[in-house]
Amino acid sequence: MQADTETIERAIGGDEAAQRALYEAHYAAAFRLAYLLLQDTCDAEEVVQDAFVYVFRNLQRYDAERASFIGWLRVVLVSRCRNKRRRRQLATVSLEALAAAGQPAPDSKPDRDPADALELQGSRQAIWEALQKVSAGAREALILRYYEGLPYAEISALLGCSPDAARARVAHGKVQLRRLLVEAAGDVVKDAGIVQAAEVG
Amino acid sequence: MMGTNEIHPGEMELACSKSEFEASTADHLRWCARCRSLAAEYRWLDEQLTDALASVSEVVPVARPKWRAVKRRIVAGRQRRIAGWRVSAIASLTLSICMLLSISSVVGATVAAQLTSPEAVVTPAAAVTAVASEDPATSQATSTPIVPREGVDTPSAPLLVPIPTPSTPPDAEL
Repeated sequence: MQADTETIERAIGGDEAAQRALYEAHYAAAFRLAYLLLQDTCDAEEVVQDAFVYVFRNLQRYDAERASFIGWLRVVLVSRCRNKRRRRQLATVSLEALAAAGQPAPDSKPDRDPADALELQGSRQAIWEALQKVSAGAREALILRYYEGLPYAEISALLGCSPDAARARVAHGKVQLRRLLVEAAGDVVKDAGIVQAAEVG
Repeated sequence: MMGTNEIHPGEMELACSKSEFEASTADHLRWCARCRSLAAEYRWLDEQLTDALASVSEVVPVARPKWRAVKRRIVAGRQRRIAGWRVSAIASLTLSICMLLSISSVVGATVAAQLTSPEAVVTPAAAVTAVASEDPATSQATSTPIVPREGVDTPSAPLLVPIPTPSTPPDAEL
C-alpha cells in the first residue's frame, strides 16, 4: 500500500516507469474482473486498456484519501464494462433486426470465450453458465459481491444505487441463479446442495 | 412450538447472507424446516458462486499487458489536447482582431461622416435677438453671440432693434 502510494506519486509526477509499474501490477486483476463482467477476452482487453488510459490521463485528479488506487481503477473499469455491455446489446439488437428482415446476420454469434472453453467442473460449470443468464444488473452485483468481496456500500457506489438497492440486487441475482439452476440442472442443486445442506444442518 | 413468526419470509430475504437476516427471520428459521432448507440452499449457492467465480478468473487466459499501446494512447491524447488549445487560442486571437478592426472601422466612419457633412451641424437660422414680455420689468433684450464658422456662410442676421417701450405706464390704465 505504501509502495503503491509512492509509485502513484511518482506516476503523477510523470514518471513513466512508475506508470508502467502501476499498470503491470493491476493489469491482471483488472482483466479478470472485466472478463467476469463481459465474458469476452477481446472486450475485456479493450475495456481494461481504456480504463488505464483514462486513469493515467486523469492521475492528477486521484485523491488517495477518498479511495485506494485499485478502488478508483475499479470504478472506472466497471463503468467502462457497463458501457461496453450496452453497446454490445445495441449491436445484438441491430443484428437480430437484420436477421428478422430476411438477411443473414454476419457472424451473429461472436467468438466468445464460452464457459465450455474453461475447464470448470460440475456445479461450478453449471453456476457459471447460469450466471450468464442472470439479468445484467444482478450479475454485476453478484460478481462484485462474490468475486471482489466488496461491501454493499462500495457496490452501491460502483453501480450508482443505494446500499439497500445493492443488497436487493445481490439477493435478486441469487434468486434468479437458483431458479435457473433448478430449471437447467436441478440435480446439481438438489443432489449436491440439499444433501450438503442436510449434512451441515 | 409455533411462535409469533408464522409467516414464511420471502425468498429474497432467505437469499441474503445469514448475518443479514432480520431478527424475525432468524427466529422463524429456528422452527421452520422448509425455510431452513431453502436458506441452506442459498448458503451453498454463496460458497459455490464464490468458488465458481474464483475458478473462472484463474483459468481465463489473461491477455498480455500492452503498455506501449496504453502509452501511445496517452501521448496521442496529450498531443490532441495541446493541438486543441493552440487552435482555440489562434481562433480567439483572430476573432478578437476581427472584432477590433470592425469596431474601429465603424466608429471611424461615423466620426468622419460627422466631420465632413455640414448638414449634421445645427446652425441657428437666425440669432435670437430679443425676448419680449408684457411685463416691462422683465422685458429685456438678450442676444446670442454668433460665432462664424470657417467655410460656412453665415446667414445675414437682422439688426438688433430696440423694443419700443410702452407709451403709457401700465398703472395709467387703471
